[in-house]
Amino acid sequence: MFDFKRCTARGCAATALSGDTHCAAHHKTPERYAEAALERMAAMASVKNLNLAGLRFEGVDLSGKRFYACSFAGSVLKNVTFAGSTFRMCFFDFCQADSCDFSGIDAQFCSFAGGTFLNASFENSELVHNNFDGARMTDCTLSYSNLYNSRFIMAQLERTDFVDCNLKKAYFLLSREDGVSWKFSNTQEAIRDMERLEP
Amino acid sequence: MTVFFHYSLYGCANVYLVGNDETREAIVVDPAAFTVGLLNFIEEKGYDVKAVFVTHNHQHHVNGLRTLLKIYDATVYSSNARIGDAACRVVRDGDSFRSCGLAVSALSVPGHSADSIVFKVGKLLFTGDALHAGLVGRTMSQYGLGLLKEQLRQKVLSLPDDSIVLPGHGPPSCVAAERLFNAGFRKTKAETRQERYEFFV
Repeated sequence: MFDFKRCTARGCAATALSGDTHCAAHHKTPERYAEAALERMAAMASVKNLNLAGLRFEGVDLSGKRFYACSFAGSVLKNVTFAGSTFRMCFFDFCQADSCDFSGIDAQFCSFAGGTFLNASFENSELVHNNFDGARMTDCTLSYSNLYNSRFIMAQLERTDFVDCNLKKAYFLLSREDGVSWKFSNTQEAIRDMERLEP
Repeated sequence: MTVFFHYSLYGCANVYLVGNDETREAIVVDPAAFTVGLLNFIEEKGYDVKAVFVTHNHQHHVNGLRTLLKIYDATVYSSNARIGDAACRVVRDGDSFRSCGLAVSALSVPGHSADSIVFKVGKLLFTGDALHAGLVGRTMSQYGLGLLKEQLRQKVLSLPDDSIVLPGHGPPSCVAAERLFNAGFRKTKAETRQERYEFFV
């Protein structure tokens, strides 16, 4: 897990960026920090314990990497490709992802809660045990993915495809859906009402 | 500090291993099962399990405790004096202590069960069954539900936004997401009716 050193800016309770004294909001040059982090990541196959919360990444290729206990929470991701990457215990809470490619990823025990995903692809992915609560997905696809034990509680799904997905134990409680396709997916095994919750 | 998560097929519960990378000591949180795979993993990483945190004494969270204690000489922290035949070091609401070189605080959140405790290690919150991603723990009565929600609001949802929620079942979350997107905190029809009634009376 990344260090939970508190940002040294007065009154800030956020966690500082890895190896730094400030969080992204209080960092003097977050763009430079992001560039340096990308250079470091380019040389690594496995990225571990990195807190990159709140940074902005645009037009970056991070495909095929293995991320362990990393945080992209609150980050702005534009045209970023994570295709074929592995994620374990990673955090994308409240991130804003525009035209990002998460296809073919293997993500387990990760959180995408409250994130905004526009035109993102999660196709052909292992999305087991992930948290998409409150996520806003527009023009996205999660088709041909395994969503076992993932949660989409209070998510807002607009023109988003879940074609041929495994929805066993996937929670879709209080979610708003508009133009969503569930074709060939086992919707009977998804949990859609509170009465079906396990003790 | 390194945190590993293990999905136990027994009760579909989460088991956590929190390792101190300097001392090579480790804490196991809620040993739902203690399998050969988990044992090998701990040994490969070179950790010595010195503590076990039990968030609540439900079988599908403590089923592996007996096996674990046969292998490791670990102190069990719980709000119960005993779990099965294991003696525990009793923790109470607001207790702060050090375990495996890490600062830990205990927050009592009764409701799902009377002995429910949240263990706070830095910004990590091991919430057991009191708080899950998007849901609060199941309770036996409306009183229990009200109590649980009140305790969670006071002690857990008041923590910094980026505090990480690591529940006993299901995926992880963060405090900010739970404040906004937890279905359990939505007002019930009865609560809304009561509020309207009080407004007019």
